[in-house]
Amino acid sequence: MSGWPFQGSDPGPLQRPRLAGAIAAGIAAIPAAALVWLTGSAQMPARVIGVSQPLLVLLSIAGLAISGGIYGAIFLRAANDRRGGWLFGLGWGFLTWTLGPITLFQWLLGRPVAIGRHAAYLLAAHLLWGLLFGVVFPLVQNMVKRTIENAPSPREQSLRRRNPDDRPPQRYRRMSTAREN
Amino acid sequence: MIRVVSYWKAILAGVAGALAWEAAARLLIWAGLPMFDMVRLLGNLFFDDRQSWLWWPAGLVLHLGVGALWAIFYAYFCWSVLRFRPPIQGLIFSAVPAVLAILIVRPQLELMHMPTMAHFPYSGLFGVSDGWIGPVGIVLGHAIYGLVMGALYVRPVGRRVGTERAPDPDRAVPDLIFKPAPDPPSLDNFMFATGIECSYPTIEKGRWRLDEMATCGHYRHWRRDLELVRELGISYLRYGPPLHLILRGPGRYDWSFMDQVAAAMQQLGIRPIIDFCHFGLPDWLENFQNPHVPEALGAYAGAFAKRYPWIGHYTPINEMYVCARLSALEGLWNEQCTDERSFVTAARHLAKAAVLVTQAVRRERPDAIFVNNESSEFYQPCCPDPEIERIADFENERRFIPLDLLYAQAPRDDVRDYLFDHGMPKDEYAWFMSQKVPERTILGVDYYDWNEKVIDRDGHAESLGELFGWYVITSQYYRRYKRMVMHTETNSRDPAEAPMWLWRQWHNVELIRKAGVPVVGFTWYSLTDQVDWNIAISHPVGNVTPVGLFDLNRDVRGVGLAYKQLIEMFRDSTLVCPRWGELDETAALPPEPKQEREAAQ
Repeated sequence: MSGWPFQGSDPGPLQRPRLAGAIAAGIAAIPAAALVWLTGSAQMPARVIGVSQPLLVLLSIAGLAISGGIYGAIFLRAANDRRGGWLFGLGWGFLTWTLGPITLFQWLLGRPVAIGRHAAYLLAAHLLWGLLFGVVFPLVQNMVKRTIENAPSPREQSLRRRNPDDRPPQRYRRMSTAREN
Repeated sequence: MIRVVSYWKAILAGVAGALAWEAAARLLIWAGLPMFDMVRLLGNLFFDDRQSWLWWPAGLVLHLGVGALWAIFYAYFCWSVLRFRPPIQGLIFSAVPAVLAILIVRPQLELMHMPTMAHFPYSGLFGVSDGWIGPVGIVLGHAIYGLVMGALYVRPVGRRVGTERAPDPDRAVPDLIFKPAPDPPSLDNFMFATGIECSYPTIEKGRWRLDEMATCGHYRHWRRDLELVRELGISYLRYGPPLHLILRGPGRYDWSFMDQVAAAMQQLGIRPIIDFCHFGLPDWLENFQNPHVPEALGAYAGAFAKRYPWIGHYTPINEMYVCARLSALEGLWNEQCTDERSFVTAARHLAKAAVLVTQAVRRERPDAIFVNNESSEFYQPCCPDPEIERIADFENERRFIPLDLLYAQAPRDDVRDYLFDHGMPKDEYAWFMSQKVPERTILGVDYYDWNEKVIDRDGHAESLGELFGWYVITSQYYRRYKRMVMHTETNSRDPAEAPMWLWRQWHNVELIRKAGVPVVGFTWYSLTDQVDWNIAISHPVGNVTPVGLFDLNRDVRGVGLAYKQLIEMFRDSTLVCPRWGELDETAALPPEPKQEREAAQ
């Protein structure tokens, strides 16, 4: 995906932003789900939507993991920003809250999914998730990224694409052989 | 990283914007006008409406926090995107939180007050069922916020001159455990290099300093940066110690940062090419019109070489022609003059500084190697108009002035007269021409895709893109100075194109070596992305130019891996036989464009 407007945001050859986003979001969803569960704020949305509370929590974690993958796909290289990651994540948490429980469900059901302090906890849980997600993302990225030794260079990839027999010219084959040895 | 953001400025601007909103809202409410009260709505989440001494500070603090967060968003995503004055940029940005506040936040906050909701009638699922007072009040409040915040968030990078402090090396990120250092490469090996971008010019008539090492995070991540150099298999590092932070006054030096960096370089087996002056000067030396600059830089270089006797490669002054041109002819940096006399003065002082620096270093280290790099420039006339051809011809001679003075190479007669006409004393010219150029010098030729320019019908130089390429332009410099050559800078601003640009430059090097020109090194500049480089560091904007082997998060770019592969491929096969001093011109080089034209006629 190259829709991100900032030049140079294409992911690096070692990075896996979508995978890192999904994993980081899944991890960050656990304390957020715990907050909603422990404050009893899952009851009303579960009743309104018509599912059990445990299922709602599981679906929420899955939904947030997908949201994290989309975040990685949109932000790409910038998702790994150690300095601004917490803020981007917080913003993403707010956006997920805005588009999910608020806009989508209110529009579909024609009524709010939560009111009173439970509505406040729902917002707090999304902001907590976003904040943790943004902080955890670079750590997860670091774990899932390819190593510098194993990454194909862009030239090698490009030459392989151009060669119908999928064999790079001699000088590049020599490099691959040396690596294998 | 997409942009360098000043957090404390953004937070202050956001808080100030939210305060201005609250002040305006409170005055209107006290005056009895219908104004939406966001602070009350927030404060009542925690305290009863009758306890105004509690809900007001609580609501205000929460609103100020939200204001600060939005301001940091603005700093990251909107600042400098639109070409308007900063308050207007802030005003336009404020439409985003205003819309969200009307459609989402306000109705949700009202829902959070349920089931009591005594003071806040519900404005409907999307906040538009309660008349116009609420939405208009929210838009008005955000407009005030945006104007104030936008007006205050300016100049996110750089520091006011006189307030810079030497970096504390102990505050750097301690994320490095040095691996055992490989042996430094033999001097017979080809020099594969990169550099840490280190420009530190002043702008705004000397009041504001842009320090690239600071904005690119090198002071914080210097250990990691050095390790990254070795991770890619690079042995040579063009490195400009921050002159403005080290040379604190005549004979006064602060070596605290450089001592640690030098020790780490030694430990990692990195051979630095030390760059003494990179487009800027310490505050007390002011600018390049100051006649005391050459002696001051000479003394600094001598002290440096004495303190770090193991360092053997030096660049006395980086890109003298570019420095003189942008400081004294185009008015972007330092003295910001725009006249020929100032240009000649800056060029004289820079060239003299290079001579004195070279002499001072040689006194401490007689076997030092000097890499005199210059931006390769070429001017092409757009049309067969004699005036346009004259301008192009003059510019093609003017580009050589600083190197001519440094290498005691007599300029063309008309250029020499131009120097005399614009303030160069004849005895100073004679002094330059009488200098004995050290044997162990390498001519560094930098090349970017805007180095070749066309002189248009109005007589202005416009970038032409890569027309003849490094091979042809370097041939012109080699033919003039007859020294060993190093490709000392190149990069591409398009990260997708960068690996191909790298290989194109490398094939230029291979080709010119086959033609007989002794090229001894190659440099991708720089290690990390740079900041505001696309606008020649002329304004403190903070935009990242993605030209590095690594981005500013220190994540490798595609070109970083391509360079690593290139080095692995050619490190052992590309050997150098040092041929010091002025060389016999035996290279089979392409003819000069002028010779070509004459031959055609």
